[in-house]
Amino acid sequence: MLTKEYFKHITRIALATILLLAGGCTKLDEQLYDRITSANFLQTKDDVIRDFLRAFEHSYWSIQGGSTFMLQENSSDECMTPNRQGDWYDGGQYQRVHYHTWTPNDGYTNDAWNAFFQGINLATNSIEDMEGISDPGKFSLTQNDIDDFIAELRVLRAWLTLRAFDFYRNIVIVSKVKGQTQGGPQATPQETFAFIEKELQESIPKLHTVEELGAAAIGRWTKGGAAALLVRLYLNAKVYTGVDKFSDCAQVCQDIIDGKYGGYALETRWDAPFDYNNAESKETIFGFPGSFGLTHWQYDGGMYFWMMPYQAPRYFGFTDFGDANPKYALQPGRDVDSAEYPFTLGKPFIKFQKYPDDYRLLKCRNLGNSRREGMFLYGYLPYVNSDGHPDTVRGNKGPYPLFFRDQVGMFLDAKPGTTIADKESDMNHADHNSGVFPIKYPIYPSDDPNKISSAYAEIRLAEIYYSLAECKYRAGDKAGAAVLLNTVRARNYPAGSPSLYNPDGSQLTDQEMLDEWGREFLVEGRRRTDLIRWGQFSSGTWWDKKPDGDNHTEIFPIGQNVLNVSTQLKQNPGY
Amino acid sequence: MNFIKANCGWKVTLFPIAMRWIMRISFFITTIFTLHMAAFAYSQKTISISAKKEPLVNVLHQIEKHSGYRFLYNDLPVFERSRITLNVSNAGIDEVMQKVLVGTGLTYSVNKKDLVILVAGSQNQFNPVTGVVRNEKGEALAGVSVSVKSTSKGTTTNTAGEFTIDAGKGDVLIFSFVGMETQDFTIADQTQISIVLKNKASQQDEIIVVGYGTLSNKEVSSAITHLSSKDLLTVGSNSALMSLQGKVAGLSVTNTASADPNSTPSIQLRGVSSRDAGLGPLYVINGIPGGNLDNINQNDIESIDVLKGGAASAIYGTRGSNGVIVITTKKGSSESRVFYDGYAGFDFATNRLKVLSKDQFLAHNRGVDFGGNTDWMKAVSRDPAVSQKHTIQFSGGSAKTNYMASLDYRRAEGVDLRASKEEYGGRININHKSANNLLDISLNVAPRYAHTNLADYSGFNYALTLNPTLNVFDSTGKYAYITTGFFANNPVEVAKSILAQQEIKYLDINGSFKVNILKNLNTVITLGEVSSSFRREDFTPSTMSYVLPANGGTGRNYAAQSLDDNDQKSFEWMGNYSLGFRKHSIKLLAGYSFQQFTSSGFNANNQQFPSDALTFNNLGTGLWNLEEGQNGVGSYKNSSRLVAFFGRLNYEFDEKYFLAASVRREGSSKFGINNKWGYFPAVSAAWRLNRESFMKDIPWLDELKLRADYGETGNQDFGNYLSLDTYSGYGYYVFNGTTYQVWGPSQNTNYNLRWEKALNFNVGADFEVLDGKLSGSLNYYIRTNKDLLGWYNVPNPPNIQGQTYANVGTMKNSGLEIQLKANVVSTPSFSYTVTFAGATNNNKFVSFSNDLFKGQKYIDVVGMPAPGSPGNIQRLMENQRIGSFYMMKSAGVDNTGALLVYDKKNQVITADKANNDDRRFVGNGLPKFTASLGNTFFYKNWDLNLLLRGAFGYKLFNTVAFYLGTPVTQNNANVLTSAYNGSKYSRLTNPSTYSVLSDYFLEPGGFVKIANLSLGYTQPLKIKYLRSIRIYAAGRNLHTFTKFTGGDPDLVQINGLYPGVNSSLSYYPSTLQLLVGVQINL
Repeated sequence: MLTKEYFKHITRIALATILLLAGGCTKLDEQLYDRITSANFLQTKDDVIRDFLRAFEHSYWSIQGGSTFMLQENSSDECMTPNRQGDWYDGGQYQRVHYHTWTPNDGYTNDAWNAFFQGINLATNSIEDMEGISDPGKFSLTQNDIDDFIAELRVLRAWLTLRAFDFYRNIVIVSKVKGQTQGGPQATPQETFAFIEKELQESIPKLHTVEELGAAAIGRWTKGGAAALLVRLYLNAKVYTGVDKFSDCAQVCQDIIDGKYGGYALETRWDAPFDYNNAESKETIFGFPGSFGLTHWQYDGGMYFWMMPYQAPRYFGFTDFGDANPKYALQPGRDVDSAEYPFTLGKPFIKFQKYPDDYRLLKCRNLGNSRREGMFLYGYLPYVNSDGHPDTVRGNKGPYPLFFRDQVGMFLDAKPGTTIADKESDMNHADHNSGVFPIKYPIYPSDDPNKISSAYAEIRLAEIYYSLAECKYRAGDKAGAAVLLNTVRARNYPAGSPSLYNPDGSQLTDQEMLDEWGREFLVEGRRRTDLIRWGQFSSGTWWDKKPDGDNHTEIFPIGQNVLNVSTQLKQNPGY
Repeated sequence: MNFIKANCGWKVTLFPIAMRWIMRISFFITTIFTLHMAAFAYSQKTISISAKKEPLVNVLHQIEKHSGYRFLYNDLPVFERSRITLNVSNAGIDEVMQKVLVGTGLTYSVNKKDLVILVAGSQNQFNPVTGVVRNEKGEALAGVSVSVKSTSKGTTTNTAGEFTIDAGKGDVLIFSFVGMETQDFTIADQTQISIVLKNKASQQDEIIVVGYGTLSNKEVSSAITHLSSKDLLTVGSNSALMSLQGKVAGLSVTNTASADPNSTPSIQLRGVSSRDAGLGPLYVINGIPGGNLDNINQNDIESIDVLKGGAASAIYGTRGSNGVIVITTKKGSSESRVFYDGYAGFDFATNRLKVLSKDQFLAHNRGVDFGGNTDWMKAVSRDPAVSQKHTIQFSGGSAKTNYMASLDYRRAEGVDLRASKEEYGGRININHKSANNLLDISLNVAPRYAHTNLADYSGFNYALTLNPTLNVFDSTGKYAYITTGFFANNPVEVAKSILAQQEIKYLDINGSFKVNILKNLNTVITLGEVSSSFRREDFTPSTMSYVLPANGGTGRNYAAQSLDDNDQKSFEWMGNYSLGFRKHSIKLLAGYSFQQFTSSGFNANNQQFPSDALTFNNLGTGLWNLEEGQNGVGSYKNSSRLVAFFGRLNYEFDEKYFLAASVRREGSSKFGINNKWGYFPAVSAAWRLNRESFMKDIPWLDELKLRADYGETGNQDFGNYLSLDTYSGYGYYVFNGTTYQVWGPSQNTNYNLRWEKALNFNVGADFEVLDGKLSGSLNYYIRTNKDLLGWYNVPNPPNIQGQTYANVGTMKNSGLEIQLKANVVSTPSFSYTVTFAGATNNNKFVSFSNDLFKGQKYIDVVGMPAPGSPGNIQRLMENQRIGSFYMMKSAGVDNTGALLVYDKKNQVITADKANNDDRRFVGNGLPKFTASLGNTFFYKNWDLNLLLRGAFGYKLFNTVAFYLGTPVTQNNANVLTSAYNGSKYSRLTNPSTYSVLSDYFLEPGGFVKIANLSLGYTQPLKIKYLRSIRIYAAGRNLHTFTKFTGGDPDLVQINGLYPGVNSSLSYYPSTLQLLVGVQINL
């Protein structure tokens, strides 16, 4: 029959097809096109470097990412994010930071934890990748190179761990991540302290000095950088573990200043540590390399670009990023009627005005040729617009020019000097005239070749001087403290200025020490830590801020979402 | 239609000799019965049969099945109406036929081929031809158009249904009447013709498309809803599935921007089924799993089968977890036909949110008076938005080869100023049988091209909030630069000046090659490719007011292009075998399936071009990437594959008991290295009680079938490579003076990643009573989705990323579904049919942990946006229904206008004093019950359809009232009228409690809509080559009855994991749509 013939054919075809299928069409391996697995990632020297740098890149982000900068500044007596006519209310989350009434359900209590620990995990992952390199020669690297990479990553991890320690105190020590799915238990503060100390001490011998790296030192952990982290650790040891380490701190500071860890020097201009060429500054002990096009996290919205009025970039002639946003401003020193507030903490602008010949008090403006003067925006901010017409910085709530002042209230279009009926001044009642804005890093005009190219100076030699000064002050050596402080402060005032401390240190008090930390390190993301060390964070009074009920607020709660997934973690006391 | 039915029968049961014979006599008969035969029974000449009040047609069917005899007859009403009772054993054909035909008025003759020919009454010779036309009930039909094909001769029937026409042997008569299927009749020797026009195919004989095959409705043992093209709604929409909205119990079709001509609806069957993996059903288009729904012209659809039960969808294995929607497009027939459908549509914004006018704005001191007077909603709207669509279909061929071709053109505008879509596409279907019927070959090709301008969704947000004293244009006639308000932008400028468009190309090709090895054994190979290409083009000119340096802008124009290509190749190979003996019938299916999916694309952008005239067409001339030092380009490519082996057994006994069992073993490349393969078994059974002797005496019962089925289905609809330890590039860092892009782990590995599985249990009943007057089905289902795929929050440390893609969680959905149809009135000139579809859905998130991932009992979801950023509004928690609102419980408003809420100790405090710990469960956004009521009327040449649709038992969060509907909305922004009209929202005058989420803003979401209304008039024509013209008008979304005050409740999504809340102020008004159209049959 006809069908029989066909059946034969079909059978043959079928058999052939079955063989085909059995051979090739049951394979289910994934074919990767635009990604690589770790198994075959490391092929060249550049791959090793890319792997090595992953945690560094994250760390640069983390200076502001995860709300770390916001929490350090807004919880202190320095900065504020008030409700500006509906802007920046954001469910009251910034007000809770100001009032220290955060809860584990506030997102930022998770975000900071995750920012720190993601960096810690990444650094650890890269350490494991580096340790897995058995034949550095294959990548044209030496074992010394690999050892240096590992040492730098351990210091980077120590820096991140120290910050997490400062925020949350009861944290997890991480030394392995590959193949791990569950986290370890919380270490005691003593264990964590010892871990950080050991990581730093063990790494220092394997690190380069700044001289060895020369111009390439920016962004790298050197002996000096690691030693500076020991300074931070020891300076706050009493807070962290209850054990005072000021003498250890002083010793490391002195060694750094003496050049034992590499050659550093203070800048002679107040703005030089933040200027476009600060990557090569001798004052920069550790900095993150920034560039206009690729990476510049301190100029991000989480930090200084949102520490300006909306139209301030027009005032600076910098239009590449569009307008700014006034998320952060300095807390006010004066009430609605311009009377100075009576409390001693806070009032950062008034603290500057105490020494009126301070160069930094000038209104910040660009001078051309990558130079500027002044560190603050206040009053009217006039500028010439692109059509050549004079204009003034305005807000988004009305067409009137803004007059920025060291006050918070609903001034709206009231002329400066006139009194207004609405006397309310608090976190929920601010307009766009409210507050003075600090400009720490320069905003050069769009046509300036050095716009937005500063590195972020995470550790400056000035910090070592101030830390040593504090150790000496605490040890009763006020004169020694004053000399050290003046060494740095000299650049802020004209030669022979009365604003310099008497060499005998007689002007130095606890309050003055804290104020001076505030002046030199204004908006550098450390004010909360300093207030805690000086015992003022939970007990102090400043603008729209009463003392906390107790001191449990000196460490943050671990965010609820973090706790939800890591059930072995215990919430910090008091929350 | 008739051809298809016959075709389906032939494919399975006829062998070549019989085939040829029937071809010779085919002119004699218009409708032949599907002939069920089995070879071994062919020589059996004695018949044993018993029947009690069985329809004649069933008795004949029985005889056919168990003897070698086949029957040929005209489809006369007597075959359905006559109830036969007899009991014979081992009798000859003559004895049986005489007993059977007693009192029927039929005579029979048996030819040499054992074909029994049944004729009504005696045959007389008359010329010209006369006849009578009746409906299936035997009632005479008046006004039926009768014409002689290929001539201008035509007439209509009189009140007795009679006609006389001048026609001779070989002429083809065409009978057409509104609401009936058009029928052809080829005149042989007879001159007295009796024609029965069919109202519809009997429900029990409808062909249901199940996975990899078809069954007649009575054989189905799983929960399947079948819709034919005429059941679909008349809507002008971007997606053919909008024509299903409300039609299928348990199938939720939602579109929160249905007036956007580029929008696609969300489709969800029997509740949400996964955390992250795809929630939509699998679309099988002409047998190709994963067909492209956007490449379907609604007019081309022949039928849609919704496979709801797990047993039906399990044959599709990994992709069947969310149900399967099988779409079959129209095929050609031997009859030459041309069909045109064209409509013009008009969308009018309706149920709009109302804001203050300029005078009200100033009277309430809402903000600065800029001196203008702009109705921003009007300024940003195109009202009405106009659309048109034209479809032309032509088909023809012979019994061996036929084709159907379709072309369509559509152009539609959105109600915003930018959106539009212009598309054209075609579809060609060719079916061919080899001369000896050994081979069946079919080919489908469907190309489509579309050019779209994407909707500007933000325009309406701006319009709601902009100060009405602002102007669109400034004094110089340029677009005004707007800097103040809730969102500060000039929406008219944005919509008119910014280009955002897409070029889309679709191509679906598939072919099948079937070899009929034996009459009951065949094998089929199907090859298919579904590909799509999207080219996106964006441009912002340098003249935008906010880009101008004078306004603080960057001065840079911006352009980008991106290309996304998706491709799916499939190969499937199946064998079918059927066997019948005595009262048993068995069908076997075995197959192999291979599918390869590839996605790739690239994107490029740049800024600062020398001229705005270049738009996005010369990206290389921009200077910005050089200055910034970033390359502005990217590309990607990824792929996955699926391999499956499957088999199915269908067993039937005496048309009474039905059993189906299937298993599919399927592997996906996406899963972890040790978990690639999974098994997906299913079993179902049905019992037709009406075939039992103890039920035969119930005269009003035509059909009663009980069903139960169980099936396991899977889900692998998620991204590629998620189990692997992949490294990706991140940002940049300088090392030794060189900038490196850093690389690191891009995800947490999960080598245990495996199938998400659904365990589907369904019981149901199908029934038909009172001579088909009332029919329907009931289903109760319980579906448990296990090992839910999704991003799961994992401990940090040690996981580098905060979430791992993992199988965590169990969810349970259950519900009752009712589908009813009643032919309330059914006379020749008037008929009225009511359909009802209703579904309940109970949902519970059972578990949020597994062995590996523990600890988390809930997650807070749906973050509400700025201003205020008040946090998450819902909580997904174990043993809670999804859509549970978790926020403050309100306790009214105090005399300062501040919102009062309960704290965690149930004390009343002002809302600004409350914190996150005071939140609680306060309502649910998932409807408990959805229903629709359809009404279909035919009166003479008129037809009318009315569909009501509703959802009940749920709460909606009034997002617009929360942000824009209270007097404390941000100053200098417009507000909804609810802020001052005495509503409860107008009482919230204290700004301190703005941005506290509470149930104060929850409102009942229930609604009933006049969803669709269509009216048509069909004029049969006697003009040469023109058969009929139908003119129709249709309206969609005509009116909504609801207590919800935040606009159309349909604009709030109720599908997915987070029903009942819009988490953004994104607003695209709903519209009332009117269509006017014409259909021409040639």
